[in-house]
Amino acid sequence: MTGVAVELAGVTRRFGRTTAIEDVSFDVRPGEVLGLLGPNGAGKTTTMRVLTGFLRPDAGAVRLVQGQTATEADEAGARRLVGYVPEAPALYSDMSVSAFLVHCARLRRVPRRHRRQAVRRAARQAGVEEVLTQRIGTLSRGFRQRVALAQALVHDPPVLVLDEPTTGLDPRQVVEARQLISRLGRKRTVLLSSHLLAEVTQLCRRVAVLDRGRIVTVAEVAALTQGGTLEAAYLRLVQG
Amino acid sequence: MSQAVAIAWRDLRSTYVSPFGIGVTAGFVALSGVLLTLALGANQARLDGWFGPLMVVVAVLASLLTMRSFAEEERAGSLELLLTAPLRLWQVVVGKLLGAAGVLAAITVATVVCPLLVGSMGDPDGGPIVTGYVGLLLAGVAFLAVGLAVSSATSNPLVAAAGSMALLAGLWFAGVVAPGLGHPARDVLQYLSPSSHVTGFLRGTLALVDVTYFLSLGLAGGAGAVAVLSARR
Repeated sequence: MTGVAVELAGVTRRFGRTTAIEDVSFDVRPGEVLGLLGPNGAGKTTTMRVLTGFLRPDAGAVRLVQGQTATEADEAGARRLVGYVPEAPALYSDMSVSAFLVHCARLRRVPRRHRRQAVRRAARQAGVEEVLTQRIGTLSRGFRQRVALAQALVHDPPVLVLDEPTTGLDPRQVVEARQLISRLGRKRTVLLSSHLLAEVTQLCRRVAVLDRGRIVTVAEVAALTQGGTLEAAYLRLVQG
Repeated sequence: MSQAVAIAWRDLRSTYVSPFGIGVTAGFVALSGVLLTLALGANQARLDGWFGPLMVVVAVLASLLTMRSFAEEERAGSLELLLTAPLRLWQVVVGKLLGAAGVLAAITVATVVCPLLVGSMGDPDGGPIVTGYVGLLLAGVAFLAVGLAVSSATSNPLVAAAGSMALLAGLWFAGVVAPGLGHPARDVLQYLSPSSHVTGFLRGTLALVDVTYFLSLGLAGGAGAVAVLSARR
């Protein structure tokens, strides 16, 4: 499968009178891990929800571009191309990990003959093979986060959207999660939202910085850190 | 359709691994037993006096079953995963409806012991029993669809249940107040009320107008749920 690029063009989303994001434009290139940075309430989650088709934009468009073909992100077919880990993934705690992943594979149109294999592959990639038979409700937060990642991978999507994937994990789990994202990012287009600058520096070559619903810059991490740290550049951007 | 069946199977299974599903089933069967005792007070082996109140209880049951369908998923946060899967909204709604209908069917099957008990004591007419069950399931599925529409509009399961009950009670009482009104309000309200459409099933007839009414109510509920989910995106 050729890489898939993600394009957001002038995306605006309002909730009643509140404008959550306004005129947001950036792209994620095929095979790139792009960091979406911003303070709490900047609009990162709304941007990701629009990108995954969970929310519709009030203006602008989100497209997934594969070769010469562009599809609107809120079409059911386009969602087949995206794997999504929400900020606080709520999984069905009464199901076993294996049953949950099979369920997700069915929802994401993985053919029946490939389903078991897809579940095993996603479980291996996310590091949840050892807990496949356990009930999700009995797992630690770290494992639940991994299961959330496994469900996003079960249909082998070319695009991954990860909303603060290391929030709430202990330091060891954070290191493991970052290694995992780094591995996954070698073959996929990844949009990673975070407010942890060290995480973004480690995983991303480019970042888009959101502040109060607007994009303030899209730049290479190396360019932003010239003559200083990413932290200094970030503070300058979101406070300036 | 496979995805809708996957959603239905998950909901059905999750209902019966929870105390909620077992409690609701036990409660409904127990209540149907109480209603049977009351209905048999006239010492006649007939069940129309049992099916009538059971239709009202099914409306309450439908509200309880559907409060979990969308409202609970939204409250828990799992709706986000469901709605970002490559599914159309109607597939999600059909899956939820099938899941709740599966629970309703299982509960209904559990009440079959009541007619069997009456059959062992007398010789009831089989026709009204069959049409009674057809009516119970048709009305139940239609009420579930209405409940889904309400459930899709809130993230609070209790509000969803109360809203569905209020809506269904409103429809029901429209038929009670209708005779006191003039034409055409009387005819419209009577047609809109489920109470006008269950009588035929209790008497052993399957009238096209009654079947069409419950199918239409079900379609309207399903379409309403799709419209609400779409508008909330």
